[in-house]
Amino acid sequence: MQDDRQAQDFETMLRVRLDRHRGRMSGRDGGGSERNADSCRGFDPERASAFLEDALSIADATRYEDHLAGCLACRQAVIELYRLPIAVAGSLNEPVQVPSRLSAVQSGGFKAFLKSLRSAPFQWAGAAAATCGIVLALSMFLMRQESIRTQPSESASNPARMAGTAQALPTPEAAQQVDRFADVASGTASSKSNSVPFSTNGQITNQRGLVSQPVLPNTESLDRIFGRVPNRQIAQLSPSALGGTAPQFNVPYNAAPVAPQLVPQIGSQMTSQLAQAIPPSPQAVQEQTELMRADSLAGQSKDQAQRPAARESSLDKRKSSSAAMDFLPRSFLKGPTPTPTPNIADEDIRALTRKIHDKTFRFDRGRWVDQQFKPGLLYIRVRIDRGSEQYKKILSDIPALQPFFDLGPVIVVWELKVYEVR
Amino acid sequence: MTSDEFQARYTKPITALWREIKAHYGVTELEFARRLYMSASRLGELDSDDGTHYLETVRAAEICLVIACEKGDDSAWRDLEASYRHPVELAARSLTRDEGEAEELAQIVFSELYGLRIEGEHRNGKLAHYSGRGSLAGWLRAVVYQEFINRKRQVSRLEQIEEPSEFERLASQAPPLTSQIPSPDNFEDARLRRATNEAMSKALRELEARDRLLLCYYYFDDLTLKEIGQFMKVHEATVSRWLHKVLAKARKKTEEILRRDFGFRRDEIAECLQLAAQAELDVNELLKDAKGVS
Repeated sequence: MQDDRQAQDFETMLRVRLDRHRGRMSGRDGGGSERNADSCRGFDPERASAFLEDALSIADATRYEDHLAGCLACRQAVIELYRLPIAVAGSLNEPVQVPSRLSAVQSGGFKAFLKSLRSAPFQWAGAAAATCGIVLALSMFLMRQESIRTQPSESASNPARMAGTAQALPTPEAAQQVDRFADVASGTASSKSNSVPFSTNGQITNQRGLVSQPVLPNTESLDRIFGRVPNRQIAQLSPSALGGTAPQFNVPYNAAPVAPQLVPQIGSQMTSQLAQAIPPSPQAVQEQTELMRADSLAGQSKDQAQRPAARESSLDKRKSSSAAMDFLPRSFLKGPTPTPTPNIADEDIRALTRKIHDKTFRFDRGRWVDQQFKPGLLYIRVRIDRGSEQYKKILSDIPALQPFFDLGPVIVVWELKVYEVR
Repeated sequence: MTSDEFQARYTKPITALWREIKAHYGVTELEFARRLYMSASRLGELDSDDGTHYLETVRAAEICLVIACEKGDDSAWRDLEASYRHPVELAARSLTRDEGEAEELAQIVFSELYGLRIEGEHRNGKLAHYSGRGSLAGWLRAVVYQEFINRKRQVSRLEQIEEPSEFERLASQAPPLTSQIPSPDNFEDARLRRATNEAMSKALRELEARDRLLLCYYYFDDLTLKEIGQFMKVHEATVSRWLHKVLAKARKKTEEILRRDFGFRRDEIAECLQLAAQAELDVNELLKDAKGVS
C-alpha cells in the first residue's frame, strides 16, 4: 500500500514537473511549432523520412530514437513531417507506398481505426466483431425484405401509403419498374428482373451490357436513395433509371441527409420505404378500399373493433414473418412501429380514380370500373380478352373506346352495353 | 569493403533488384551497383552488419530514376516531375499555407534537386543524397521541410521589429533571470534536492530510448495518446499503459539509486521525492542529458 502511494506521489510529481516545464517551454516559445526546428542544424531528411516509413534497421532506429529523445529540434521536425499531408503519387514500377507511420495519422478516421486493429490484442477480436456485425446486418436486412414481400396486404393498413403508391404508379409498367428496383435495392435481383441481373462479382449488368456497381452494399448509396426521400412522397422511376449505371429517383432532394451515425437505422427506414415503393396487389387494393369506406363511415376513433378480417389477416402474416426471426433479440423484431391510420385526404382517394373524357373510373379488384356500372344493370355484357380478334373488331367499330381500354383491365359502360376487358 | 568486393559479395541480390526495375533510363547495372555501394557505405550499413538489410529494403526503381536524373536523362526528369511534383507541392502548400510561396518553395526544391552548381562534369544536385532507404516521395517531403526551415531562418534573421508586441514576444522568449537561482531553506534540503536531481537524471538515463522518447512525445511535444499510438503503431490504450510503466520504472530506479548510491533510508527517500515535487527540476534537461548514454 505504501509502495503504491509512493508510486502515485512520484508519478504525480513527475507529471507536475513535466507539465510545468512544458508550460514554460510553450510560454517562452510563443506557441509556434516551427520555432524549435529553427535551431536544428542536424536535421537529416533522409534519416527522418526513413524513420517515419519504418525503413531504418532496428539498430539505426534505436539510435535515432535515442537522438530524438534528447534533441527537441529534430523531434519537432519529425513530428512536423509526420503531420504533413500525403499525396499518393504514382511511382515508376509501383505506386508510392504510403509511409507506415504517416498513413495512420493522416488517413485518420476509419483507416486509422483499422490500423490500430492490426495490433496484436485487437486483431482477432476486431475481425470477429466486424464479421459478426456484417453477417447480422445482412441477415436482418434480407429477412426484413422477405417479410415485407410475404405480407403485401400489410400495405393496405396504411391508406395514405397505398393511395400514394397508386398515385405515383398508376400504370403496370411503372409498378413493374419499381418492383424491379426493389429487387435491385434488396440485392436479390433474380431471374424475374432480367434487365438488372447480378453477376457473380456483385456487379449489375444492364440491358446494354454495361457493368455498373450494385447499389445496396454501399450504405452511402442507401443514404442517398432512401435517406432523402420524403415519407409521403413516393418516387417515380425514370425510364432510363434502370438502364443506366444506377437507379435513381426523380424526387427532388428536399430532406436532410442521414447522418453516418444513423446508418444502422437505415435498414428499418429502408424497409418501410421499400414497402411504400412496392405496388400493392389487387387484393390489397380491394381491402384498402373497403377499409377506407369503413373509416369514412364509422369515423376513425371507434372503428378499431369493426375492422374487417383483412386487417387481421395482414397482422397474422406479419406475426408469422416475425416468427422467422425468433433468434434475434426482441428489440430487433419490433421493426418499424405501424403508423396510426391518418385522415384520408381527398387527393389520396382521387388517386384511386381516373377521369377519362366524361367517364370516371375507380380501381376495384384489380380493374378499373366505370362509375356508371352497377352490378344489377341489365345491359348487354360483353367480355373480351385483350388482343383478341373480338377486341380488335370492337375497337375498329368504336374507336372512342380506345382510351378506356388503354387503362388495362377495365369495365366500361358504353351505349347500353357493358364491355369488360380482361 | 570496397565497391568491387561489395558487388562480388552481393551479386545475386543486386541482380535481383536490377531485374525488378522496369524502366532503366539507360542506367547500367554497374552504375546501379556502385550507387548502392556508395549509399550503403555512407549510411554505415556496411560497418555494422553485412548490408543485407539495406539491400532488402532499398527502393531500387527510385534509385535508378535518381541515377538517370543525375546523368541528365530527359525522360527520367519528366517522370520525376510527373510522379513527384504533386507530393512536393502538397507538402509546400501545407507548410507555407500560401499558394504563391508554396509554388516558389516547390520550384526551389526542384532547382536544388537539379543542381545549380556544377563541379567538374557533374551537377551538385540534392538527389545525390537520396540513398533509397525509404520512399523517394517521403524523402522529397523531408527535403521540402528542410528547405522551408532554411528559408524561414533566413527571413527571421532579416525580420524588422516594428510592433511593441514583438518586443514583448522576444522578451518573453528570454529565460527568466530568477528561475535558476536556488533558494534552499536549509542545507539539508539542498543536499536532498541535489541527490534527487542526480538520481532522477541517472534513472532517466537508464531508461530505454523509446521510453524517453515516449515521455518527450507526451509531455513536451503535445502529442495525444492517440497520435503517439499511431506514430508507434500501437493502440492508444497501450501507449497509456506504457506511459504508466515508464513513470513507475523511473520512480523505482530513482529510489534504487538513492538507496544504493546515496545510502538513503526509506524515510529519506520519501522526503527526497517530496522535495523533488517542490523543486524546479528541469526534466527536459535531464532527458537531454540522458541522450546517447543508453
